[in-house]
Amino acid sequence: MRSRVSAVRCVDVNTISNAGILAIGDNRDGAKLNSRVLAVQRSLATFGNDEFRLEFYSLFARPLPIAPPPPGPPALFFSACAPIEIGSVDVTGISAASHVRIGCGGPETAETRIVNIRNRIPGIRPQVEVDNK
Amino acid sequence: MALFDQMNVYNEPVRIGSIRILGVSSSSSLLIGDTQSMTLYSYFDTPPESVIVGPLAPLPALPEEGE
Repeated sequence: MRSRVSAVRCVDVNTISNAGILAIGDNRDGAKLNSRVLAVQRSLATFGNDEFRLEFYSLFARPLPIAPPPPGPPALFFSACAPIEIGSVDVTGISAASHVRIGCGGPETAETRIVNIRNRIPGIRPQVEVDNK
Repeated sequence: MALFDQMNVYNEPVRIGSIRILGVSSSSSLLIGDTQSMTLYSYFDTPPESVIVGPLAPLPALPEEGE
């Protein structure tokens, strides 16, 4: 087990959202992040349709790519008496299955799938004020 | 035949003064340290068929006359 002493004087993070992680120190089990987002923005709402199931969209059925095994011989890591010293870390946002780690950890796994549907009808003002960009 | 059978990696001390980042998003990672493996994915499915501009959305039914 690799282990290192992590020391951070100051950490300033504004927002962590949507399966984001901020980890300071070692982690033996790693992190498994997952965020599946579906955003719909319409000029007129269609409440009668069942369109919010993720399995209806091919993006979520697409198989994940499998990374090939690392080439070369196996590696052994030695981290004894190798501390990590950081003065300050300033991150405004950690979002959408992202993570910030200070220390040893792994394996790190993440996944993000986003479908953003925008249906804008010219000449019709939405009943709820939205920003159609 | 491989040149060597095993690779030894010695992690030395890390000393960092200051890091300032605006955003870490969409299966991204900021790692100060070590990890055995890292697997990240990110999909974003908007164009071309996800942005629809036109009267294609089903309109609500008109109210019955005489109500």
